[in-house]
Amino acid sequence: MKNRLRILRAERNWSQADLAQKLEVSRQSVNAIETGKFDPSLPLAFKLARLFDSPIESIFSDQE
Amino acid sequence: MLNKNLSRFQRRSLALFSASILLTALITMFIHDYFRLQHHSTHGPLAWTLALLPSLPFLGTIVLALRYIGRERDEYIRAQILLALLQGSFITLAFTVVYAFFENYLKIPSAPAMAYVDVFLIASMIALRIDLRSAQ
Amino acid sequence: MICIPNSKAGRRYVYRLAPTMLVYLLFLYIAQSIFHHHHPTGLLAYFLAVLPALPLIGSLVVVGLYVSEESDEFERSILVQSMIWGLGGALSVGTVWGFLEDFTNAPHISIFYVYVFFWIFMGISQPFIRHKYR
Repeated sequence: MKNRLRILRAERNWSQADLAQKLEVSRQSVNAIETGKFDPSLPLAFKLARLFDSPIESIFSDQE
Repeated sequence: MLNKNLSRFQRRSLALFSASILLTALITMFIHDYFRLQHHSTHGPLAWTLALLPSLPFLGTIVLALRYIGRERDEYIRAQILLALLQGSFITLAFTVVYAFFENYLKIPSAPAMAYVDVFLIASMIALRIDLRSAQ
Repeated sequence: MICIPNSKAGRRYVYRLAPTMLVYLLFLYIAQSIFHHHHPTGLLAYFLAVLPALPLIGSLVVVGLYVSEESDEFERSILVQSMIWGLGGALSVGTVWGFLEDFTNAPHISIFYVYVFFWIFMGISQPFIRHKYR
């Protein structure tokens, strides 16, 4: 699923490893989600939303 | 409960899967009778080619199963099926290991080729039934 | 290295697996020596035959616990996929060779190798599965 994670990450100057640590997942997980190859579950999506202080729909987009 | 609301994709996958298993069984029986009735020599490349013939639909079965898992869009059903397959795998591998040691120490006869596949399929189906029933 | 996961559940998995395999070697040695020297029969024979199988089944339980305890859903997805490939590979090899054994004069290989091939295919498939998500 397309998402703005890379942009949001860059705005805060976080590396993938930083984000992974905050989410308590592995760096590969963050990379897979960012590249749109893996969709996070609802709990993880909510974690992301809370972390970036944005609604889920502004981070992820299911439009082609 | 399970069979009523299958999607077209699920119904087709199930039909293909059943046909594949049936084909494997039929070819196995055919080849078995061929070897027995013809008193065919068990040596040589022709024998090996014939013996490998039942493997083809069987490998097709595995490919079908993997393709289904990759394409099933209903994530709940996919998760349930994966769970049942893993539980079936566990039972099958446990059976394999115990049978191997019994064979080694107690000299029981070796199992036919499809034995562990049958165990796997039956165990997975039972696991799926139990999982779906307890999830309601 | 890929083999040693760096999640909490992954480390617990490795710390549980190692002693399980040691217990397997111990039970195997016990069963082998008693069968070799004393040729037991009856219930004792069955018990001794099953003894080395128990820690091997335990290793499967350890993997199962790892799958259920892994909180990183991506890693768990990779693990489940590799287990499916492990089983698919093991059943394929076992069945194909079984057909050769049944119909031709192929040498008999212990069914134990199905278990071995499960681990081999599970391990080998992991880097390929991970590569899909790059």
